[in-house]
Amino acid sequence: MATRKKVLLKVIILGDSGVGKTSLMNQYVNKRFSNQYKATIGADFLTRELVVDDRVVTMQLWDTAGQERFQSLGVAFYRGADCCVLVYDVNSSKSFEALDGWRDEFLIQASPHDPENFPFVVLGNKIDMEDSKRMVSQKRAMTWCQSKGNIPYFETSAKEAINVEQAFQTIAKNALQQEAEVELYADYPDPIKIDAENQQGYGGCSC
Amino acid sequence: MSLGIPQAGPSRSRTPSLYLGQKEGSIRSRSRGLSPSSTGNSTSSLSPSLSSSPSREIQPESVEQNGTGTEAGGSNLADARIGLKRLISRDLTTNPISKPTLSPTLSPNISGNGEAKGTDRGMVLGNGKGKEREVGFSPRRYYILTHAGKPVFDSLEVEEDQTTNMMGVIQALISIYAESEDKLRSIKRGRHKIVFLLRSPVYLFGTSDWGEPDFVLRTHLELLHLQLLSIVTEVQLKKVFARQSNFNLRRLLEGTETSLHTLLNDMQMDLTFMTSALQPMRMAPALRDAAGQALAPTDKISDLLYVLLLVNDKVVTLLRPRKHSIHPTDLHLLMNVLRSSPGLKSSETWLPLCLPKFNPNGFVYALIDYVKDNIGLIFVSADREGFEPLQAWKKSVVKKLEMDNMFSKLEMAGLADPYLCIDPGYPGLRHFWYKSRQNVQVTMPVWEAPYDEPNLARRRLVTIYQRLYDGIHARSGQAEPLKQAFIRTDSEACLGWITPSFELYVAVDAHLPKSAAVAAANAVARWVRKQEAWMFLREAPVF
Ligand SMILES: Nc1nc2c(ncn2[C@@H]2O[C@H](COP(=O)(O)OP(=O)(O)O)[C@@H](O)[C@H]2O)c(=O)[nH]1
Ligand SMILES: [Mg+2]
Repeated sequence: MATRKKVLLKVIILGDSGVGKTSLMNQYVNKRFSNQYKATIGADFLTRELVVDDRVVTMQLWDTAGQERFQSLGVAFYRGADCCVLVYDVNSSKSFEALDGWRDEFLIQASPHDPENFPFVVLGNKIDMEDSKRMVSQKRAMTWCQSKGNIPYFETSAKEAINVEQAFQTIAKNALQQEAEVELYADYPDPIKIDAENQQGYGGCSC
Repeated sequence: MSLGIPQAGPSRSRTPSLYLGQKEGSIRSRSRGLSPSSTGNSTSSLSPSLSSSPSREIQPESVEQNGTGTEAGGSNLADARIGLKRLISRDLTTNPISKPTLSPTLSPNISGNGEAKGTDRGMVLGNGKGKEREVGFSPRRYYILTHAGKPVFDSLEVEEDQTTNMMGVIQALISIYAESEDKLRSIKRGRHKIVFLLRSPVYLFGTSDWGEPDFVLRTHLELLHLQLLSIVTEVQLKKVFARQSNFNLRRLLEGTETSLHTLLNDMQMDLTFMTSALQPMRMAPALRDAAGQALAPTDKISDLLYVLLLVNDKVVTLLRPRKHSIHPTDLHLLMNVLRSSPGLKSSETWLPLCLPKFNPNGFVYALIDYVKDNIGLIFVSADREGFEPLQAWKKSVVKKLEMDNMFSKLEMAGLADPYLCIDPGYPGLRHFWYKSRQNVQVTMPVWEAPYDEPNLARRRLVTIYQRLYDGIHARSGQAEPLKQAFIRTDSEACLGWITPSFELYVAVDAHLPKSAAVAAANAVARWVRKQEAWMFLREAPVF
């Protein structure tokens, strides 16, 4: 069957409040950056189309907030994600140390079929700021990523649009691998026995 | 029976609509109320023969915004409410939202009463004072998404990015309510409404500004869901999503969407879907019987489920095993598949499909053969390997039918089947539909001008029928069903009437008094009853 419809990928972005999740998404989808800080409450959705390995893919980006507000939304939000993006601010150790928690949270809530191989991508954001402010070294971040099964790692700036395209391209690519096709018709359902006694009867057309 | 039978009991008045949930910014649910009308119709009271209890004129004001909404509650719903407000403040049916969000910062106007008042009603009913403003009746829109928020189906198939965003929002909203063990059922704002049907692992919703009762969209969504199941079956769907909650169902459905589109187009204008009834071909009973006899299996064919003979997409006869009845909805779904796939008419086909009312978890197999362009024979079997014996038997049946010259007789009968609304002989009658309650079958004339196209006029008339139906069957939680209901617009006056043996809906010219609608209903009832044997399939053969 020819694939006419685009592939749709659900991508969830997690990380502490203020690390730049919304800014990264906006930079990627709208090519815009605003300095204004507006806490995301609940969730926000953005969509962008891109080409991965000659396939047109639609990415449905779920921007969430690092707040208990969001956590109350629970399982449903994480359900059926194709990729999870973990974001921290390279100028904040606390936001980096929170990554473990975010990853666990995701794995528990989304309970992906194959957690070992579920695609995560880590973004260290705000690398445009002065070096003196930097709190988390690239080495430290990469060590963590390696220890979690070689999670791809990108250092980004939503403000200066550094590495944003590349990061999302990788996100899409990894999500696509996760979004495997299932042969639905491979297993036939049990044949129906119409003479069976347990067949539900119903009032209906008595014709 | 005629309308002239007096019935006891005073006609009781009813409180007009009342608000239920008045929390600020909440989704408002409003009880449906049928308020007694006194707004000067040309006939000021019910004619004596109609003064039965309960009987009511349905007032548009009380019917526009009604139905069961959801009861919002719990603190984490605040965001959702705001999001909902925002969502429905746009015209979803024509102008999908471009960048939905649940963020309150983008929704400055969250306080106060967002409910539109009756002023933006599109359909002016009642006594028709002033100009008729026919806003509303824009194309409805139907969506299916997975429980992960991935789009599966969109009846308009446009603006994919916006749809994708919206699916996310909708999934979020549904989830929020699900968490508090509440089910999001509908959202209303003035004439606009969104109705939800949650059938995990899929969610369905539809948007409309037609002013129909809630059950209409819900019925549509149920049918849409059942047609989906006819393609994939319920167990398969559940299994695949249990294994992979991010499953992309849309891709799997590629190529089968036409049956969903056809279903949506037809069921919005076809009253048989709403009433889950069959409209058989109107024909001489002797010819129907002869066809039925020719189709009855002589030897036992194992797992044969039913045999169907169609002329012009209408049922001539239907044979079934003694112990199984056929659910009309399954029949509608099967016939919809036939209508939506022209390819099935050009060559003999062995088609697996699920008839969900019969069994949602397995496929049956239909041998479909259009022996003439407009004459179809369908044999439904539960046996996957049953093609060859069925085909052999079908050949012998076709031979027999040919020998009796049956096909040309059926074609002739097909030409004589449609009738006009003048046939019952009541001047001013514009349209009607009649349902035989015992047979669960309906009959109606062809749609004539101004209803001959699926245009605004027909949309309006069908919606009026649905509102009458709603009143007569108390589908929106009314305290008691009505025996008669009446609605007048600037364009037509419509009466709905139910008795133990039938229900009947008539539309007459707008300037006619209600007594004329009553007289028309009596005329139609008499006329239909005289030819019931032609209209309805009464003793379908069993095997
Ligand atoms: N210098 C700099 N500031 C950023 C960058 N990304 C985001 N910000 C700022 O960080 C603040 C929080 O960003 P926001 O996207 O709202 O974070 P979120 O809570 O994770 O969604 C805002 O004031 C942004 O302007 C970046 O790459 N560089
Ligand atoms: Mg944010």
